[in-house]
Amino acid sequence: MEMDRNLLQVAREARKKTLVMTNSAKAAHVGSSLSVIDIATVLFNKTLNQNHKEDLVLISKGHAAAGIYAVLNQFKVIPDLWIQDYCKNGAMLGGHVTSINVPILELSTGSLGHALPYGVGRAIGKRRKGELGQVYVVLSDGECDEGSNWEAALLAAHLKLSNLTVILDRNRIQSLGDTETTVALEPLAKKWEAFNWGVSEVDGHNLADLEEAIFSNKSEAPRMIIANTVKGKGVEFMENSIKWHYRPPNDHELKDALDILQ
Amino acid sequence: MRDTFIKSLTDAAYVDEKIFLIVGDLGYGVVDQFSSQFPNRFLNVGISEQNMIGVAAGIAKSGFKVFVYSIANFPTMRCLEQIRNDVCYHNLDVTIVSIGAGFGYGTLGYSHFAIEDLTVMRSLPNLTVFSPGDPHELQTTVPVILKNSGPKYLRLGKNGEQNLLGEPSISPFHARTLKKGFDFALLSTGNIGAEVSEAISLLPEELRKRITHFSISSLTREALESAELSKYKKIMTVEEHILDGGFGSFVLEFFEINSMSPQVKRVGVERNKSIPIGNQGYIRESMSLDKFSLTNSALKFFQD
Repeated sequence: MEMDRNLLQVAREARKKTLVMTNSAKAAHVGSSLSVIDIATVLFNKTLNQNHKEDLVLISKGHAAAGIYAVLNQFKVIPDLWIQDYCKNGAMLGGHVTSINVPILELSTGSLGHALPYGVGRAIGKRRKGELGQVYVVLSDGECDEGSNWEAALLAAHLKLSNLTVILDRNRIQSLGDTETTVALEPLAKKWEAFNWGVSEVDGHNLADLEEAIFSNKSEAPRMIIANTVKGKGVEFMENSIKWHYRPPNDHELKDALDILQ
Repeated sequence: MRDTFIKSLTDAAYVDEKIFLIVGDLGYGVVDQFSSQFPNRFLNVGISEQNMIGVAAGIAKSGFKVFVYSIANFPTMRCLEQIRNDVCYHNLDVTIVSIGAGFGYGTLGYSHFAIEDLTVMRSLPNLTVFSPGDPHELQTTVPVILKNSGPKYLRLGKNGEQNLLGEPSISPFHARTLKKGFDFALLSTGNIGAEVSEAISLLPEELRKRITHFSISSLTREALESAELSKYKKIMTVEEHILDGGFGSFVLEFFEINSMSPQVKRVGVERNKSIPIGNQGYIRESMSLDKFSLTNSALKFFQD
């Protein structure tokens, strides 16, 4: 596995691949995929490395599957053929994260609010067995509407699960609008702080800052890294627009988007 | 059955270091021995059933045989999607144990009636449903649960049930004969079996000797196959559960799969009937599931 590749290049190629996948499959969630790609790039770049084989990545925002798969394709975990067939009849990869054909993802998701409780269980399991490694959970911000996350947040802090890290993709847009006009989440950092988590904020598109935030911090509490992101990041006409939560790019839009990313 | 379960699990945990018990803030005075003997394999997650099942799935994936202990519908309905997606789809070794089958928590009211759980749970992929009729059947069920990985649901009565009279239980995958006859079969699941046994004893001798009573302690085809039901002309099922999709429906599906067409009468809870306040015995009477009502149902069906 190539780990010395330029990560910016990985992220850019993954964005292009995501656009091609969603165009070809006429699939949704291109905006969510583009917002999470930099987080996924940094996470998988490290955790796929032998030095991090005890680590575990759980993708709670399963609808960003195209972006996650595109990143894993860049790291040669997912073959090109599977990417070409994304969401086609009989394909190996569908519109939500699967662990069945991609075991390193471990938990199949798609319904929100599942991976954090599961990740808490994994962190407890690792600790009780004396195993090393971090459990990383990638959460969406809209997903913080789900009560199950707050149940898990209480327990994780109570048990001081320092082997649990959540990266929250804070792109500020959920299905029907802005997170703050839908059901306001702010003050979000303060909420997690009040739940006794170690909270930090980071530019979710700065790869070096992300790497520093995710892999350098030490905490006695579970960690919440709020990664401030832009939905549709990298393709100007898709950025911060709810339309691209649903709409796949047509051929003309795909060409424009790929030109922008060149 | 509750005490039998906890004792069996605790005894097993001395030998099997993979056994892990999670409680949803329930089991006061019941789980103390387990939690003090095996603190590293015990967890109270508080009152958070969705979280509880997700956590159970994660701990199971880490290599433990996880038991989730709660009551009524709390570990089933409240967290059904977590059971479906996290546990069953990933085929993880999690056993969901619920105390208070049927109207076991009678006076506590509707919120505490587990009367749709069989329908719901038996529809889930990879999951096996166990519904022992008495502490004795539970004792043959626990080793089977420990031996077989994957998702399981264990539906138990509240507590204090007497063992049923009859042949011993071989395994939950084998129908247990509580009384032998030749023409007619009465199938029951769970602790309503006690009412059924008493109802049979109240029948006229001529009819009584023609009836076989089986207790079915798992909703599996193996259990029904072992009963050799083709020998019987009429079959009546009894469950402390709604009729829609429950035990009787399971039996009917079994007949359809096997191209059998005996005359069948299902007895259980009418879905839309209102349920009064009272203890389990009183509610069974109101729902025509007490021994006298069951005697009348058997008389009517088998003598027609």
